[in-house]
Amino acid sequence: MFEKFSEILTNRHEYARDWKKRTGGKVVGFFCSYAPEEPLKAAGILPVRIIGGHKSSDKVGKYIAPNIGCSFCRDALGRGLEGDYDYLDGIVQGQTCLHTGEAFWVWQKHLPVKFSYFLAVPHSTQTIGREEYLAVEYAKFKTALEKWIGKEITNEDLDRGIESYNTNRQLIRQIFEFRQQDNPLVTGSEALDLALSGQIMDRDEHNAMMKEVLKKLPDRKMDRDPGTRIMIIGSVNTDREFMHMVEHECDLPATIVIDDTCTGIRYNFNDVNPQEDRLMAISLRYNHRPPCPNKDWPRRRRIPFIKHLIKTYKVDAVILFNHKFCQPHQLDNAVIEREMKAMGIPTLTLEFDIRIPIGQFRTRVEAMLETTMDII
Amino acid sequence: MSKYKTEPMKLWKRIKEFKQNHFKEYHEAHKNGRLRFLGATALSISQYTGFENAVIMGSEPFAANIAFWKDFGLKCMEECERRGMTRELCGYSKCVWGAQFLNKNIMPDGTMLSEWGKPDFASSFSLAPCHCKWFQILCENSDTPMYLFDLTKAYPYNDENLIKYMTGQMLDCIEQAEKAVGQPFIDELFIKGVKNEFKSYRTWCDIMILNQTIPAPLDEKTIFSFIVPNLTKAYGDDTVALMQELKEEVQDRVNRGIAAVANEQFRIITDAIPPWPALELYRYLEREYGGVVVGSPYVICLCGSWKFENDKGDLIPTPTPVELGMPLTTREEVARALVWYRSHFSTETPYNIACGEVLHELTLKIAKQWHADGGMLHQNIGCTMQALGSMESRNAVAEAGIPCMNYEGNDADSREIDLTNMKRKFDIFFEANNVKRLTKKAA
Ligand code: SF4
Ligand code: SF4
Repeated sequence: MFEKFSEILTNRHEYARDWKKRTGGKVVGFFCSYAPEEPLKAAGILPVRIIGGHKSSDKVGKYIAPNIGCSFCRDALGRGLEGDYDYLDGIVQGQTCLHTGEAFWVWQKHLPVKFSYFLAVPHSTQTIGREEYLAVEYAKFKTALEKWIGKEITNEDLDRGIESYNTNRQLIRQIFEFRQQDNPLVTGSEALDLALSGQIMDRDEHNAMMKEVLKKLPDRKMDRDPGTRIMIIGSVNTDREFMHMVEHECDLPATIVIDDTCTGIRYNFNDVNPQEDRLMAISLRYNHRPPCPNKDWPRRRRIPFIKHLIKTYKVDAVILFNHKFCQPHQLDNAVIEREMKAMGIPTLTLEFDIRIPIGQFRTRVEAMLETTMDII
Repeated sequence: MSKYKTEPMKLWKRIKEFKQNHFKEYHEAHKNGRLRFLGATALSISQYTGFENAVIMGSEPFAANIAFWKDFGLKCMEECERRGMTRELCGYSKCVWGAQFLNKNIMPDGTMLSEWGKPDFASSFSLAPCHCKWFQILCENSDTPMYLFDLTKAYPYNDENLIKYMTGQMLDCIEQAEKAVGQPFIDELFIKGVKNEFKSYRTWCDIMILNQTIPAPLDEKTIFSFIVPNLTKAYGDDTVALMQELKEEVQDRVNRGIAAVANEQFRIITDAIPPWPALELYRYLEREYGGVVVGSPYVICLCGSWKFENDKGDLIPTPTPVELGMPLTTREEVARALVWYRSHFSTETPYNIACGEVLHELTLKIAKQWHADGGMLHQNIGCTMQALGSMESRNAVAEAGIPCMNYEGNDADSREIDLTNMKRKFDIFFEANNVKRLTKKAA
């Protein structure tokens, strides 16, 4: 049912090249999910999330030290330096963490594209004046885009962009809801491919595919034991090998029923509420979406969000998914672990590098599953 | 016979005493019926001068002092790690969290304190998000009221949207602080404090410019001691006077050709916060190679405010709002002027990731303007913000024809500092650049 999403994700570069050929449009890569995609879509541009390929590249070390830069960014930058993203016409960074920022600057300097833009998204999504501030930054971004594409982006264009993305997020949430069932109708691996393929596809095409899935999904029969219901908490998850291992290769059954990651529900949780000032409407969405740790201060909005997901998706155990040298998530993890412990939820922290020691991870996941299955 | 005349800095002792007294004032504030404010220095701590009985401490010098006393620093790190904070996390944060967990602290002269120094109000700026996460954790654990500022970017400067946003936050912070400490904020005191900060910062720029002279009147290790007044008390009349005296003394050294390092033969720029637990490496460079560290984006910008001349040219001091005749009579005007002034290249703003575009350019400008023969950039893995851009700064300097290397270290965690390896790297670098060793190498 989800094979097509997986196939496009696997062949994402071919998809983007083909999209360009089919539409004659421009493709812009973005590093972090805080880059506003709606104005890009409104400008007729295909935004694609720049992700790694789980392959190391010896070209990165000249720019970012391997003992400092997070594994996700080193991998993504490596793919750029190796030429995988040679079809990009532009790049955009919506400011979040230091690592994506540095990857952006290195890319801008060493892989020149026709358009590059660093959008100074507020670090905090709680400060006074941040919504107005971001709306003004969007206006500057829109002006820069208009200059580049040589035409005005009208309110009607923005409405189209907003509508396409709102629909996309709503459909993803609808499909994710089937994971709340006692025997979830969508596995975690499928959910990842579904959501992640959206971040590299034309959303209208992605929407059409999801609508087809939704026609058949309620009648789907799952002939697998769901086992332990796991939640993944972390940054950006593109590790399909790991997801597959947890759900299909462990000696004990398990299903990843939900996540708090920016390639999953965190990114798709809320919509743009239409209002006359379109850029303000978009600003409100990005400011009010469930935050990543970088943006979660002074109050902690993440913890209640995680607790809400645990309850709704009946989570038995948590995996803290941490990219190597990802300090932002490390900063929150000690607090999350404490909260999980108080709730009696077993928690396993795993550190992901560009390549992962899958055998070792399997052993550790199985050890956690043993505790939740009550067999020891 | 030495190449240049040298002599100790006359102000050395007084500046050391200044630091000791300020720390004492902070720690004894409650005993003396005063309030403690702990704030990141990234955009300013002078906003608290409006509270009549405030003692204000900059959180970075507070952390650096712990890091410098490496045994205590190590205890702080270990205490954090025991509580689930990983080894990779920020060194400064772990110094202060650790002090808090242990409820102990240390004075600049090494005297141990039986209390860590919980503030009555704390604030930080998101130079990088972690700079605010640092305070989030600190304040949660100590139940301290906090205000965390969102400093989204500092380049391009003069950005009205940013100035408006930051000014709004500063005014809000003042109101929140008033409520939290239950004391009135006096605008006249605030205006005076901020005007003093402009003077202290402007004087710092002049002092740094004097260090472009050959031979350099100051070396960076000495400069580290001189940054404290501006970082902890730029708003004070005593700091304004002290900075003026310092400038006069440095000017006098320049006039008389007094060098910081008698055998100066290779001028070096560095990059980031130094490895505080291993400052002896500076003396190694001087003694063995006549290598004098003349500055860095860190030390030059830390206590001053700079900009590029006509947006492309040399690094020059930002004219102060007073020099520019900006209106400075109301709280709003002063807050705005302060934000405007400090959101240039000031404190650590060039390391703000939104400035990645210019950090390397800035480093190169410093190398050229301070007449560096080479760069030895500290890849400070204790601070991700600084470490991430370090390699590209090295590339920029090296590509411009100035030999440049990175060396790995840590501003706070002595376990991550391999002094032997550092020295070996320096030896190779000097050898490769035909710099004569001044001493016989130990067998
Ligand atoms: S949040 Fe973490 S994993 Fe994601 S890009 Fe930043 S450092 Fe890397
Ligand atoms: S890592 Fe650097 S920027 Fe981050 S909190 Fe520590 S000192 Fe601040």
